Formats: sequence, C-alpha cells, structure tokens
Amino acid sequence: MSELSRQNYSNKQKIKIFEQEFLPHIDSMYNFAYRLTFDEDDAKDLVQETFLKAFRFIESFQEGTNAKAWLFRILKNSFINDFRKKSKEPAKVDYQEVETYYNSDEVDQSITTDLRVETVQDMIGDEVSVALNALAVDFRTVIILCDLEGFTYEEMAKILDIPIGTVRSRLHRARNLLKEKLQSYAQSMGYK
Amino acid sequence: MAVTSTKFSQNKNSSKKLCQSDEYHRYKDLLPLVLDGEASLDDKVLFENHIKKCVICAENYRLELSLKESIKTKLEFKKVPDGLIDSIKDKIRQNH
Repeated sequence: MSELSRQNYSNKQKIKIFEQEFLPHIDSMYNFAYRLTFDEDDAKDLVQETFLKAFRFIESFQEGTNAKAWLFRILKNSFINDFRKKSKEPAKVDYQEVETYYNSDEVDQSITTDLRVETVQDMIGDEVSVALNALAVDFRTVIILCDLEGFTYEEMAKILDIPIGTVRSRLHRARNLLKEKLQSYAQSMGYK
Repeated sequence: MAVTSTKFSQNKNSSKKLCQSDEYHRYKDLLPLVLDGEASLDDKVLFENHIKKCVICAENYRLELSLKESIKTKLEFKKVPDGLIDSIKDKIRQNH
C-alpha cells in the first residue's frame, strides 16, 4: 500500500478522498468488524475508530490507490491493538491454535474430507455462519477476506502483515477447519 | 508449500481415495490457486485438463468451490446502523 510517500492534500481534497474513496466501503467494513467482534456496538465503534484513524493518516494514502485494502488493514490493526482486550473474543487462544496447527504434520490426514458438495449446497446461511464463527479469529479472518471480500493473496498479505506463503497456509488450514465444523454439524443434523 | 515424499506415501497408505497422478501434490497445491483466481493461465489450463480426467480432484474442486460460494452468498449481510455515517462525518468536522 502507499505509505511510503506522504501526500500533501488540501482540506478540500481530504474531505473529497474521505467521502469518495473511503466511505463507500463502510458496508464491507461494518460486516468485517461484526464478524470479528460478534457485537453490533463493538462493530460500530471499531468502524468509527477506523475511519477517524484513516482521516488522521490520510496523507499516507495515495489518492486512487487501493482504499479498501488500506482501510481493512487499519481496521484489523485497531481490532488487534485496541479491541481484542475488551471484546468477548478470548485472547491468545487463537494463536495457540494457529501454532498447534502449523506445527502439525498430521493435520491433513486427520481432517475429514467426507463432506459432500450437496450437503454444503443444502446448508442455510445460519449453519455456514455458525461454523465460520466457531473458527479462531485468524482463520475466520482469512476466509472472510478471501471468500467474502475477494481480496487477492497479495492484498491479504498486506492487510495482515504476513508473507503470502503464510496467507496460503493459513487459508488452507482455515478451510479444512471449516469443513470439519460443517461435517460434524451435518452429522449431528442427520444430513447424509 | 513444501511437500515431502514421506507425506505422499502416508497419503497412499491411508484409506482415503486419492488422485492417482504422479503429480498429485502439484494438483493439490494448484487447487486453491485456481479456486481463488491466483493461478497463472498455464496452470489453470493444466488443472482444468486434469479434473476432466480425475474424478477425485474434480470432486475436491467442486467441494471447495461450493464452500467458497456459500461464504459469498449465504452469510447474512448486516446493515450499517442508522446514523453511523453522520456520526463519523460529525466527528471529523469537529476534529478538523
């Protein structure tokens, strides 16, 4: 993203960039914030804080570049730095889970691949949502960024401050975990 | 992603049905790249030709695609709370 060169905007330009390039992303940002915090008020505060920071640092943003990825990066950092402490998300657990999974050679073998396409197609939004929400935040995040928001691996690497290789492996683990959750849910509901 | 031959033999010995291609790992690694639009054109064509012949990889691809589409289309989209945009604009005017 374009933090290297500081821009010099007039106040009028700042407002124009803010309203034309930043605000149009508020729907995706609110939904991302909600899927991180699971709470409407927290999501609202997180989005507001993100926009205020974006305005404060607007000179690090180059007009016409990838505003959505830039804003998502600020939102994700705000969530980690300021929000995680007070949100309902249990702290640290997800990182342990990440480490355990990354260090496990057996993980591919242990994950069931019996989930059927038809089962997934028959599922309703709530079922998919519950499974997704049950994933640790780092895994949930890559699925949201990739599958819901359509970010490229390179954009995700920048948003999350991790190498592309880590984006790929984290996405791989996240998808396997999601399949596992959906499979056990399907079994409990008597899907074939 | 680094792939070892040890892992390959473990896969062969497992009870799961697997792609019989010698290049199983290549297709396994290509799958998410094709799914996410990150594969080169050559790799995409290679993968697409492979799944015309390989039922296992074709089924894996269909499953991943259906999951990706479910995430995209089935999750509830929450409406931005009334007043949030105005409140943000007000705060910016105040701090400005």
